[in-house]
Amino acid sequence: MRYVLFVCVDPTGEPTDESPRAWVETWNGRGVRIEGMPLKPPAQGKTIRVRGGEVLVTDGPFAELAEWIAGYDLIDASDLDEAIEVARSHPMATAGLIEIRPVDDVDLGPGTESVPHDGDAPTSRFLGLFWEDPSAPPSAAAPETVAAWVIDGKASGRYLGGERLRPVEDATTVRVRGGELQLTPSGHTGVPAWVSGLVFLDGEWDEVTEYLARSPLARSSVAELREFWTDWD
Amino acid sequence: MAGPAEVRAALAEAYRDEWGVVFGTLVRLTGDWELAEDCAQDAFVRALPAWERAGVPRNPGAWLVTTARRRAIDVLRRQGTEHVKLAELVATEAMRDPLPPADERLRLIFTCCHPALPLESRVPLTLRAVAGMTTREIAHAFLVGEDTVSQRILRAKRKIADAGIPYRVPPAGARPERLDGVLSVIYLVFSEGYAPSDGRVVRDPLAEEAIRLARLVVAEMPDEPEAQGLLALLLLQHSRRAARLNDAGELVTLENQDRTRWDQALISEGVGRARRAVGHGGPYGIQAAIAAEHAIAPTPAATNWVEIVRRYDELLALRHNPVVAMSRAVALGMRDGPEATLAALAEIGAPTQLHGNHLVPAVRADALRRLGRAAEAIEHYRLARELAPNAAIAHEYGRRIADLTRPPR
Repeated sequence: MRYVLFVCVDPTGEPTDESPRAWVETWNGRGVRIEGMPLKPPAQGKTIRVRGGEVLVTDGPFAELAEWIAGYDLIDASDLDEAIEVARSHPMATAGLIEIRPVDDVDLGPGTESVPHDGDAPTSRFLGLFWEDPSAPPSAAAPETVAAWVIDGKASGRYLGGERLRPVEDATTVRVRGGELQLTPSGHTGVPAWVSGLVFLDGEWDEVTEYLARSPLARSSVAELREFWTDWD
Repeated sequence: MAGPAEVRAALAEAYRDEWGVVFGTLVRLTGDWELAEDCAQDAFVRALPAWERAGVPRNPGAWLVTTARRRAIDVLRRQGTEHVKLAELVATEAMRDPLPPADERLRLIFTCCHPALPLESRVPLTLRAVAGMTTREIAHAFLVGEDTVSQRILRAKRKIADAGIPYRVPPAGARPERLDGVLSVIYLVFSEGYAPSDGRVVRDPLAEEAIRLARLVVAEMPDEPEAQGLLALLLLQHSRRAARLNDAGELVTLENQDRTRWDQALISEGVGRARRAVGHGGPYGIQAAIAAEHAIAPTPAATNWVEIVRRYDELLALRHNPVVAMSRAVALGMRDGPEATLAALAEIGAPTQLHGNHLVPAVRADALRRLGRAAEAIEHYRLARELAPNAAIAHEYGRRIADLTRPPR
């Protein structure tokens, strides 16, 4: 089963200067970790939403959270217990927290597959996170409109891939404190907002912002645009 | 040929003892919790006419598993081609040696108590899947709506499937970590039976179910001292059930209980298990040791308060907990006199975990009463009565106020 791990900052964490390099090597070596990248802080990102046909773009995150997503990893684990083993061994499980989210395998149809890539992650400059906003009117985007948006993005080079996640009820949050594993049967934020999907995007800020604003998902969700660190470690 | 009464009795017994095994086997074979429940239920429904006709089978559990498995194969074949492979798997898997029944139950209990499931779901799921309680019985026991219970169980089953929670006993290395979660679910079931949040005084079926679950874990994991400790603690607390209520159905505190009504069989088993568990120094073992000291004391005054205070100190050294510190303050007062309780209360202060807790004013009031400071005691009992979590406890504080207000003879 595939899981996305959101590597998050958490003020209750125990500082460590351990690099995740050994963790990456271990789980890559076992064929469990597929890919992953760290993100620049949310203050350097943008928030995009489309309400009533109007595009609203603001600087920074859509909510000021003490716990914020600092990176993602995609793993293929045999079950949740293995995913927990992977997550707890990450230095950020001690210094911060890791949210485990099962991937919802959806097939949007021909031409919507992620662009294949070599190495550790898609060579995209940005990550788009779709937050479910409980205060927004519920509306499910029709799969064919999402598929059209993906195909269009692949043609223009904006879209390189994406994953839909299972609902936040299926989340497990992992912390290690005082050497002890702590599991929470929910998402990592204290607010009723959660990430329902992620997309890998490439281009300049304004190009990617414009492309995200055209996503049918931006009408019901809040899209957060975050830049990857490329010179990490 | 068995008479209808014997068949019904045999079926009731099989349900109590075998539900978890039948259901667990089907979960293991099909990986589908809904299908497993449907097939397990169907097997018990079919059992009554079949057993009336042909007699109670020599091994009712095996009969029930076979019947449930056949239905699973039928349902899967009917569902179409993609399920045929699974149906064949179900058919062939069961041809091999079945797992020992206790193994099935243990898998089930560890899965139902997985820490990735919300606690509010773990309890009803465990009672439904392992103990075979119906959602109606669970709803009744916890005084919540049947819909709420069904929803919680349904969500838990969905998360097991969708988040990939494995159906197994965790490997030895992870077991102590996971056992903790199992034991806390069992303790929660017991506490709800012992001190219901709704004001009814005791609910024996839940307490007895918790003891049954604890026995199951101990039988399968006899080398886990904390499982022993929990079972000992439950047995010792349960041994007092007949003395906890007076004839009017009111709560009787430990010091006023008629100790001849304590269940000596449960005490002797509980004390024995507590002795074996306490050496390990885990929290359930220590709590069991404290309960054992109370259980073997002929009177409140003759209780070994020195030992009890020492055990509370051990418990607090493991993990500081203001509620435990309150219990220690009471024990200290019994050992050294009520001033010691007041001094201990001053030391505890007013941590947030104790905000709104009726025990704080009640313990203070008890100490003041023993010091002869009646007016102050009444004031604190009144506060305790306002904060009481249920009517029975509020009534008890009212009684103490009345005792103090009564003019001396």
